[in-house]
Amino acid sequence: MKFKHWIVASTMSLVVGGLTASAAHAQHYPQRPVTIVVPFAPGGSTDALARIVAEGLSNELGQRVVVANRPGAGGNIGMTAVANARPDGYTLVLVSSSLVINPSLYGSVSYDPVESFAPISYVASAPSIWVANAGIGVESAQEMLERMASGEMPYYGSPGIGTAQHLAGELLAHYADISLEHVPYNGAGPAVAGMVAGDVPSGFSSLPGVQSQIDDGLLTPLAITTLQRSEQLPEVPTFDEIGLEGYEVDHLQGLLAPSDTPEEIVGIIHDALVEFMNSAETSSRIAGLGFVPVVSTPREFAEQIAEQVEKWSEIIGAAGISVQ
Amino acid sequence: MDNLLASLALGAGTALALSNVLYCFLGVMAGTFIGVLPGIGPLAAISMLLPITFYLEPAAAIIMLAGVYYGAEYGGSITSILLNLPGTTSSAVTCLDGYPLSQQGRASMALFMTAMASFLGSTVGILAMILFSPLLARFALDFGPWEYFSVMLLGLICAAVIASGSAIKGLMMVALGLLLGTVGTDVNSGTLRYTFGMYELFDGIDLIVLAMGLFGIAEVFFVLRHPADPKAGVARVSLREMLPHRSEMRRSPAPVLRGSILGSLVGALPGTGQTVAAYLSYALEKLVSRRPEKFGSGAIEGIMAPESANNAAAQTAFIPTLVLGIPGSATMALILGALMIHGISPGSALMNENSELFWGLIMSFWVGNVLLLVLNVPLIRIWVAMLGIRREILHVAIVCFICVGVYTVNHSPLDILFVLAFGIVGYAFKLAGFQPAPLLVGFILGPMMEEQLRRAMLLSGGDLGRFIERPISATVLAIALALTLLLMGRQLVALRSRKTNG
Repeated sequence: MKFKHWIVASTMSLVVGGLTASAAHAQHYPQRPVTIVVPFAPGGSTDALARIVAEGLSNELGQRVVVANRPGAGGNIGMTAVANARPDGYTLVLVSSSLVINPSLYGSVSYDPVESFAPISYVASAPSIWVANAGIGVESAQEMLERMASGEMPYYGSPGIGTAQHLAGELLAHYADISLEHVPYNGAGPAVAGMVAGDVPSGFSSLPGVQSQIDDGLLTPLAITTLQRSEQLPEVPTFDEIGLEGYEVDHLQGLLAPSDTPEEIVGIIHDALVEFMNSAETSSRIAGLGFVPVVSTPREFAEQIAEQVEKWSEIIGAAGISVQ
Repeated sequence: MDNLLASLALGAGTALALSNVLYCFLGVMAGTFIGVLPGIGPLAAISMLLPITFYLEPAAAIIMLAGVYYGAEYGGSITSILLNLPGTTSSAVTCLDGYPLSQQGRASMALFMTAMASFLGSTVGILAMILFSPLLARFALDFGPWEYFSVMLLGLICAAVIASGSAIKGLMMVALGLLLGTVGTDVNSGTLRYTFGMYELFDGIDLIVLAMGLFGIAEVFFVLRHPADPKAGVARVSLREMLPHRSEMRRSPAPVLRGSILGSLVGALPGTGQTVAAYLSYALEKLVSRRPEKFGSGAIEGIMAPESANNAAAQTAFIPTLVLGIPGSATMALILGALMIHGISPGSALMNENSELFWGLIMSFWVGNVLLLVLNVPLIRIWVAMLGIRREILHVAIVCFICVGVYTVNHSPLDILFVLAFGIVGYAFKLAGFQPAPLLVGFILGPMMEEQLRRAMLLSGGDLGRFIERPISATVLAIALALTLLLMGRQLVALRSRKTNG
C-alpha cells in the first residue's frame, strides 16, 4: 500500500511537478498526494508521530498525505533527500534533534540545518528522563550524583552514540563537572532492559520508554531534562531545579520543507498543522507517545533551529563525541 | 488456579467478540501474505496499519497488529520451501530442508507439516505466556551482556553444525558473515567501518538484502543456468500427497517439542528474536539426531524444528513487551506504540487495570492461530500450483517481487544493486559448494556478539571473570565448551576411520 502510494506520488511529482511548482498555483495546493519523509525506520517515536501528523494533515488539506521512511546514517539520508527535493510543498520531512545534532556529530553532512530547509513548525517537544535502577537504593538525583562523583558507579546507559539521551548524559558530566562512563546500547528497548536489569546503574531514556517501569517500581526517576517538569511525572524535578542551572535537553520534533518552497505553501501547511494540533484528540494521541505538542511560526522555528545547532556544536565539541 | 481460569474466561470474552475475531482474521491474513512476499516484513505492514488503529478500540487494534506479526511467521516458510526464497529472515533456515523436499515433489507435504509445526509451536508459546509470563520476564532480566555473549557464542559454534558437507567450508562462510557484519557504524564507539563514505552503508548491510541475494536471486540464476529434469519436482496435490510418510510422522513430534520450548525461551529475551531461535533449534536437532547426514537433503526434522521455534518465539516476544514494557524489536516497539497512543501503558498497569485487554490479546492468539491453520491448509493447493507456472514467467516475477520488497525496506535504489551483487556471489558459492546459511548466522550473531562483549568488558572494567561468576553465563559457556569438544571428537573419529579405511 505505502509503496504503491509512494510510487504514485513520486511519479506524479516527476510528471506534474514542473507545472505546479510556481507560487501562482499556491492557492490550488495541494493537488496531489503529499509525502512526509521520516528519516528513520518504522518503530521509533518520530515515525509514530509522523503518522499522526500525516493523518491530521490529510484531513485538513483534503488530500492524501503519506509517510515514506528513508532511514539510515542517523537520519542523514532522509534529511539530505528532502534538502535536495523539489521545493513545491509535496515533499516534507519530519525531523528530530538529529537535524541539529548531526552536523556536529558527523563532522560533515550534506545538508545545512539552517540553509537547506524552509521550517514549517515545531510539532512536539520530548523531554528525556534520568532514571536509576530501583535496586541500587538511590532516591534522588543529588544522591546519584554523589555516588557517581565518588567513582562508585560512573556508568550511565543510553540508546546509542549521538542520541539525545547520550548527549543528555554528556551535558550532565559537563554541568556537574564529573567524569562519567557512557555505555551505549543498540536502541531504546535494549537500553531500558539494561537499566531495569541493573547492568547499568542509571541511564537516560525518553519518557514513555520508562513510564511503566517507573510505575512498577523497577526504575527510580531522578530528573527531567527539559526546563519544565513533565505533566506525566509532576513530582520529578528538572535538572535546572536540582542546581544545574540552565541544563536543558529538548528532543525537538518538527516539520520542514526544502528551502525555496513558496511562502504561501508553507503558510497553508502551517495553518493546517496548527488547526489539527489544536484538537484535544490529536493532543492526547501525541501525549500518549510521550511528547508535548508544540506549535510555532516558521520564523520562531527557524530561530530555535539556529540556536540549537549552535548549542550542540559547543557541547559535542567539548565532550569530544563523534561518528566518523 | 481459579484466578487463572477467571482471567482466561475474561480474555476469551474479549477475543471471541465478533468484531475482534474479524480484526484478528484481517490481521493474520495480511500477515500471511506479507510473510509470503519477500522483503516486505511485518514491520512495514504494521507501520502502514498504524493510522487505522487510531479509530479502533484498543483491543481490536492490538489484536489486529499482533495478528500481522505472528501471521507473517506462517507465510514466511511458504516461499522458503517452494522457491528457496525466504519470505522472512527467520524462515531462511527452513530453506535448508524445505526446498530439497519441494524438489523431490513433496512440496505439499512440507507445507502441510510446517503449518502444523507453526501451529504447535505457537500453541506452546501461548501456553508459556499464560502460565509463566512473570517468570519468563524475570528470566529475561537475568540476561545481561555476559549472558547474551555466551548464548551468541554457543550459536556461533552451532553454525558450524548447520552446514552440511565440508566443515571447513562452513567455517569459512561463518567468518565471511562475521566480516560482512562489521560494515557500518560501530555501536560502542561510533566509528564507521568499511562504509567508504557512503551514507547507505552507515547502518550496515541490511539482513533482508543479504538473504534475498544469497538465497533468492542466486537460486534464480542457478535454475536459469541449470534447467532441471522435467520429471523432477512435478507437484501433485491431493490429500495423500500432503501426508508425511509414517517414518517422518514418527520423527516429527520430538523436534517440534524441543523447537517450541527453545523458541519460547529465546523469544522471551528482548533482542534475540525468531531468527536466532530458528537457527538454534535447527542446530540442536542436527546435534541430537541419529542421522545428521540426512539434514540438508529434505529431513523432516529440519523444517519442523525451526518452524515451531520461530512461531513459539513470535508469541513469547510479547512477554518482555507487555510485562516489562521493553520491546525486543522495532516491530514490537510499533505495537507498543499503538497501545500507548490509546493511552494504555504496559507493565503491571496493563495486567491489572487493563487485564481484559491483556488476557483478550493472549486468547486472541489462539483464535488467530486456529484461523491461520484453517486459512493455510486450503491455500497449499494454490501455492503448490505456482510451481506449475512456466519457469521464465515465474522467475521474472520472483525477481520483480524481490526488487520491490527490498526497495520498500529503506527506499534505497542502491539496495537493489546490492541484492544483485549478493545474488551473483551466492551463485558462485553454490557452484563452488559453499552454503549461504552459515554466512547468515555469522552475519546475524557477529555484530550482536561484539556489541555485548564490549559492553560486558566496559561494565566489568575489563574483568573476564564475570563470565564464569554469573551462573547462566557459566552454564552456557560450559555447554559451548562441551559442544566444541564433542565436535572435535567426531572429526577425529571421522579422520581416523578414513585413515584405516584408506
